[in-house]
Amino acid sequence: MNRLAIEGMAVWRGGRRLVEDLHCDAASGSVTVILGPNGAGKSTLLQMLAGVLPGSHAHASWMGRHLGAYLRREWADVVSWQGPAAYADFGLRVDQRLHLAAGMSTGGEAERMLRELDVSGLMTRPLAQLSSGERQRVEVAAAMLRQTPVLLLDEPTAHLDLRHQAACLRLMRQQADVGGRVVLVVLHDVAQAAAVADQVVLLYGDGRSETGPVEAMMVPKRLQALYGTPMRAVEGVGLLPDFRRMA
Amino acid sequence: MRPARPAVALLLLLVLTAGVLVVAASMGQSWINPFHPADATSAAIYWQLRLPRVLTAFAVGGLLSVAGAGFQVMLQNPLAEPYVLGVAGSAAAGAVGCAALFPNVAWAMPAGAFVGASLGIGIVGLFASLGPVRLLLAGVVLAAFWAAVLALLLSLLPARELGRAFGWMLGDLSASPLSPTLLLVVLGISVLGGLAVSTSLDRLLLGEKQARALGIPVRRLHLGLLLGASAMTAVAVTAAGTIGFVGLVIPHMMRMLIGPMHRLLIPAAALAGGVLLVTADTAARTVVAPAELPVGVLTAMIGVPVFLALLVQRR
Amino acid sequence: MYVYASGPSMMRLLYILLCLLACVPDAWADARVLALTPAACEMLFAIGAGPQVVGVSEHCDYPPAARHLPRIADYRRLFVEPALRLKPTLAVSGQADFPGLSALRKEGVRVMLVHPASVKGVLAAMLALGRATGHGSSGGTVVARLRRRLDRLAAGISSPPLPVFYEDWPQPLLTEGGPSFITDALQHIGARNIFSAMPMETLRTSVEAVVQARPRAIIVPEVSEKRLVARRAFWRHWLPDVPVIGVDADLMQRPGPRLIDGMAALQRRLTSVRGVVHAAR
Repeated sequence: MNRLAIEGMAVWRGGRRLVEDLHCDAASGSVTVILGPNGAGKSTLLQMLAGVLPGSHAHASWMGRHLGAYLRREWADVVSWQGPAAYADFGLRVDQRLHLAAGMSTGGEAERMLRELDVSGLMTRPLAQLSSGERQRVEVAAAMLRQTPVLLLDEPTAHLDLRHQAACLRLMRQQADVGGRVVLVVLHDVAQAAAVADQVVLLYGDGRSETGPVEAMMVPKRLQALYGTPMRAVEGVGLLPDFRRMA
Repeated sequence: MRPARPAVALLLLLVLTAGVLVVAASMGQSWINPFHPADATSAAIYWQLRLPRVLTAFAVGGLLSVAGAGFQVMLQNPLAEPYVLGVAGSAAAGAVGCAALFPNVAWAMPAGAFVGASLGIGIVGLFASLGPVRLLLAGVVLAAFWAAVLALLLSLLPARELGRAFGWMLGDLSASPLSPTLLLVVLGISVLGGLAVSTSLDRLLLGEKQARALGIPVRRLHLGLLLGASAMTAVAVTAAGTIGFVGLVIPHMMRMLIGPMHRLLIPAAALAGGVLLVTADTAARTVVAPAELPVGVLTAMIGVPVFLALLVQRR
Repeated sequence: MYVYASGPSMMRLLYILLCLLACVPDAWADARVLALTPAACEMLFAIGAGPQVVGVSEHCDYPPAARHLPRIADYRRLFVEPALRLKPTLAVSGQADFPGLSALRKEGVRVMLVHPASVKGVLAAMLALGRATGHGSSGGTVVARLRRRLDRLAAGISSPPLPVFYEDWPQPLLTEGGPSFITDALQHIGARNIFSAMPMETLRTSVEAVVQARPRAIIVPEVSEKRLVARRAFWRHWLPDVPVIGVDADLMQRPGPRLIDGMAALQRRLTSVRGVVHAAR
């Protein structure tokens, strides 16, 4: 079984050390959710793993080989990264954007994914004319369409309405379960995290970090410390779309 | 009009280019048919004056337009153009400086322009590693610096040379020190170079980080774009002085017509930039004949209405 | 010439000025004069007002006496402070809106515009300057002499006007149009500027336009033999039988008294061209 292994990684940003000595072992077929307050280094960690930002690449390895030992080209075939879309308005259309990410891969699987994220109907529209939710769906689709063993998603459900949040979570789970991919995802909604995660990484933003199975990590004591706000568990009040029952 | 058939648009552009080149070379104070010239003088005028000038205009327009497209995608800024990083300013300063040092020497201005442009590129290149936003800032500040140097040099220039300096700064296609063949070869190399990295350029449209995540060596691509586009600008400036507008607007026009993918955009920009400059220069030398207008004035006068019409129609 | 940009309105202004001046007696003998163009400087010295000139512009190099005078302007602006220190009473400018001139006006300095658009305009300007500086009579004598020389030049014209191209600058190719005094000067010596129909004082043109206008001579304001050789080599390719004649730019391009010298020299050269052409036929 392939695994993305992080051993003793540190995350810096703007001269501040946000995470020290992070350990995390993400196996293929699993979903790892990264939680933490704003500015804790979640996105930075993801971008370091994507090879987008420089960092301690010697502390992460894929298939026993250090990230730093991969060529950029090779590493791009290992990970897909979805992050905040930051393109200038040059009139790029949705189909062109997807094509740039994933080439002409329009098999039945891809078609189904695009339909599920409601992207199929947007194909000929310029990205600049999309709403932020529509654009987010395109970005998530672009990342998922790429046939890489590792999938890094940075707040994929942001801007999405409830239905599309559920679709997004379901697809994420499917990427791991059916596709056998390693999924690392940054989320802000603890309910979504609880619903989708196999493993959770907590980044406290002061250098501390914890990694563990979802049941061990998503407990009020830890989450209160993580977010610095009181919490209580309420049975039967929270509403969550049951994506496992969607087909 | 949907940009869904870009290949057709490119083909039409090709036909338009051929037509404009043929007609423009025959146009002038009098119409000259190159195959049945009225006399030997007409034949000489066609083959030695008009055709080289039309080809020079085409190559310079193409170079400016492709360079503009390159700067725009590199800096992720739709307002970028070939002169945005101060290359025009340093070239003009070099040209005027040389004119002041070597008064009455015909090649002084183009040679000075080339030296100035190369110097300008070298200095901007020092800041290439800062990333697009700060590079753009550095370029804009350097442009202001070169404008100041230019103003200083102009105030030191003898009165007699001023007309020449202003003539050069407004663009002059009649006296290129570089042969049209050489210019066309440079344009061809530029287009081929652009096509060779067209997929990488496309991915830059997704932003620097996403491009990097897709395996594009962004730093190296930026440096290559900076040097390549600046060199194209330097060659164009050396050949014809500073001609504005082509490099800013033609890439945008072509994006509106055939989309932003560089495999089509680059050849289209080269063709359309060439066509615009040939059209503008033909107008410059015919509308008030036997007098001539500075071509830089006409690129804007022809290009602006077309661009605005496209802008309105596209929304 | 581009340095002396103007139009017909400027001429009208000049005539109004002249009419006004006609009413003023010769009461300016103690005038302290600034000459802001080389042509004005030469005119002032020619009419005998040289001793009253206290400051000149950068390019005032004739007569030699003018070279030692304080330079208080270049071709683009007046240096107000040094100019005022000379306590001028009159400034002679080629341009109504010459930068710095308004400061002088505010200090009560009289400003005269001298921007002749023709040979006659040069003479009229000299008369006006004579009256303004108290040299009305000597100015009149000088002008009368110049006028006689002009008459002799006119008498030397025997055949229809010879079409000529006046090349101000090779790159970009600049020449003189209808409103230029050079076009008028050419007319006085039996030559016709091929671009005299153009309504601009100075204009860009093209080799093609020159070739098609078939001039019989090309005039280059250039005395350096080396540069003349280069221009001859260039034009020989296009107009093999057309001579390229060098003239002294200081004579031909300054609308001052020496313009007549330049015209006379050019007429002699053109006569020999005519002779050659006639002989060739």
